[in-house]
Amino acid sequence: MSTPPHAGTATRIACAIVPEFALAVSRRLDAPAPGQPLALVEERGQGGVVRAVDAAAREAGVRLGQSAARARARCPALCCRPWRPERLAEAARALAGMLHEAAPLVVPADDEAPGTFWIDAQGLGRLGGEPALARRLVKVAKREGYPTLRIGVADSAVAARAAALAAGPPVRLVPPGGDAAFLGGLSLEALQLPEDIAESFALLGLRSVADLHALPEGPLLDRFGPAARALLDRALGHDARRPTGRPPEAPPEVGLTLDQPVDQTEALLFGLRGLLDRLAARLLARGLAASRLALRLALDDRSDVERVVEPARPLQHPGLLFELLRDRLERFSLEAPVVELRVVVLEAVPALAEQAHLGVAGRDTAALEAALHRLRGRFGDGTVVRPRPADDPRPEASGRWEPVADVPLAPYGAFVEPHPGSSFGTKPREGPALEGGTPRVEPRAVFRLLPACRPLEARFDAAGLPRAVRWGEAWRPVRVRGPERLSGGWWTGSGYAREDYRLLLPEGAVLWASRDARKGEWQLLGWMD
Amino acid sequence: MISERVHELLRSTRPQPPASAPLVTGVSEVDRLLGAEGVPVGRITEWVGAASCGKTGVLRGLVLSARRRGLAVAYVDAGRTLAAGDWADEAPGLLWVVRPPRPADAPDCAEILLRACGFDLVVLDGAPPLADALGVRLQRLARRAAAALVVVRDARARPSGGPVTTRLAFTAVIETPAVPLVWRVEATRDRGAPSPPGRFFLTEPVPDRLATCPPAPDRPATRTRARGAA
Repeated sequence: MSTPPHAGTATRIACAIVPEFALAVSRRLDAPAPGQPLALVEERGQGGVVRAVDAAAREAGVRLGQSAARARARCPALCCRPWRPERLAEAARALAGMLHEAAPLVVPADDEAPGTFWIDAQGLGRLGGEPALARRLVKVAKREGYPTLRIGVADSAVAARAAALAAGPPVRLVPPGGDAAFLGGLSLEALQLPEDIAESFALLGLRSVADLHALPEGPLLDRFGPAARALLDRALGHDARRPTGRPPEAPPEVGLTLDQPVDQTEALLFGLRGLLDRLAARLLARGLAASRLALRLALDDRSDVERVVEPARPLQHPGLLFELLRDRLERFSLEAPVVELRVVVLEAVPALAEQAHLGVAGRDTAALEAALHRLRGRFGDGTVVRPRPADDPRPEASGRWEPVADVPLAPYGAFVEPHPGSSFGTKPREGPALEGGTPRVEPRAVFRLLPACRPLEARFDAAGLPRAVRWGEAWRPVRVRGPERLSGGWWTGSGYAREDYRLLLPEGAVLWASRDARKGEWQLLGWMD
Repeated sequence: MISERVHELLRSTRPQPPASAPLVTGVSEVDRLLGAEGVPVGRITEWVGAASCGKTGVLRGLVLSARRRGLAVAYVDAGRTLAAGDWADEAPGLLWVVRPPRPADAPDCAEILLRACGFDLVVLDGAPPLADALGVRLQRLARRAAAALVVVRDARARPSGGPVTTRLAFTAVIETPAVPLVWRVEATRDRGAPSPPGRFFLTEPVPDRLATCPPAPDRPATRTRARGAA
């Protein structure tokens, strides 16, 4: 925002505001369940602190500054997502780019809260005027996942902002020349007073902008100095701020309209390949990499289908983009043949230079990423996982599967011997205990879990222990070994107290069963191998 | 584009795993059966045994040994029966566990992983028996990727098709029928160079679990009444 040379001439400015922008971004990107109370939690030390709450959570008693544990105690259904302020600016830029479809100039308001945009609303008479502009903006925002967008249009930025935030309908148009009258009916909060001045005004009994208008200018300037001058100007709707600057470029988008409807996946894949080559060239020309894409298909029955994809890391390479999208395209269940294929970059970030590890014993990161994208695209995002330890004595909970979202860029072969004949290579570090060049591993049995633990089908003896169990299709006699008593978790609200047993079958199989010490119920958890 | 040329260059100059470092299990008797070559690279090795015969325990040793050398391992867990706690380790090598929605999807996962040429060891566990054509294709992909492919199957399942080079069969009896259990495992190699069976012991991992028991949080201090107070 700056003061243009023509400041003071008649202008029209629109202000678009996404209330609670951080929550809206989280709701859009983190996808909590619809209607579920949402809170954003900032990790601090061992716990978390609530930084933002939506209306449902607020109604349930969750407050800003509470610890995450207390907030969950207040509202058991609360969905906690991490507080990530760094992505707000990126999301604002992306939304500004999309709103640019509806208005000639849209810029994020750097001097306002994230999620506020200034829009040039002048000279739109032939495009339906200001009501049509507001409708277009709301429609685009809804499409992009921001259904709560509020619009205010006025002669000045301060009045437009106040109109957007005023209670009532989401769109408010202040007539030309009506800023001072509109602002006069509002409370002083609409002027964004500094905290000390707001306190002073409250002590003086000033509540509304009209009260400020009624005061004589001289004593006010004597009491509050130059700051009062700016306030008085704002109160009368004199605000030099205008949307200026270069409008954000729309994210790259490529499309292919087919000569005739196509229902064969191979033909669509062929078209997709060409599209992605063009898209990659555009990304490269602008130094960008796509971090979120949408694959949109227009069908012959006039319906549209869309799938949004987020790669493991921002992509620019056409081959990797193709691997990312090909399986998504194959998994579309289409009701009608396709007439148009479109790939839209929803979010892009500056492409980073990639370090190539020439001569180092490592694997091709790009190929691994392609495999990851293919597996996730074909079988779901949670298909590829890696084990992580967890602090729990129960065997089935002593680790957790963490979805693999990216591929390490650095060579991961820290212990790999240098390639013979090469002067390069990683320096072998002192590794785990070696025995004649072979890492020593203590052999031990491992647990195999049933996909879902199920009640143990058993016949019990007088002591209440199983003497025969149903394993497969037949009843087998068993010898019981145990119990191994495990209890804990009472401090988390999900306490357990159980007795684990090993059930030895005649043919040598060892089943792993558990008896709930409080309810007496038996569960078959798995076997050992 | 430059990036494509760099990727091509990387692919063409990627060093192969040195021949002097065979893939081994860390269990000396099994490694003796496998010979100096270890688990053969570029070929299919079949790992056969009934439930609780110790085959997964030995396989864990193979995976862990490879990861400790910095090699990359992919494990296709078709039945989704692995417990994460047994496989979590700070070894530097990459480990991806692929858990497809249906066991029938597991061979496709293995094919995608081998095509990536990014792994030194790929384990296919619990998948339906491989058809001949699929077995041949996977073996060719393994050879191209310079990776070892280990196919794990239950002793009652039909053998896999295709060129299985090495087959290790495991049988076990309970040696100490008390907790912690101890198995006496016998491994035989029924394909490849003949050698006498290997015998070793496996134990149940109870001590590890007890060591990771989390501490309970401190209780609030209780108010103590002064001696003699009413």
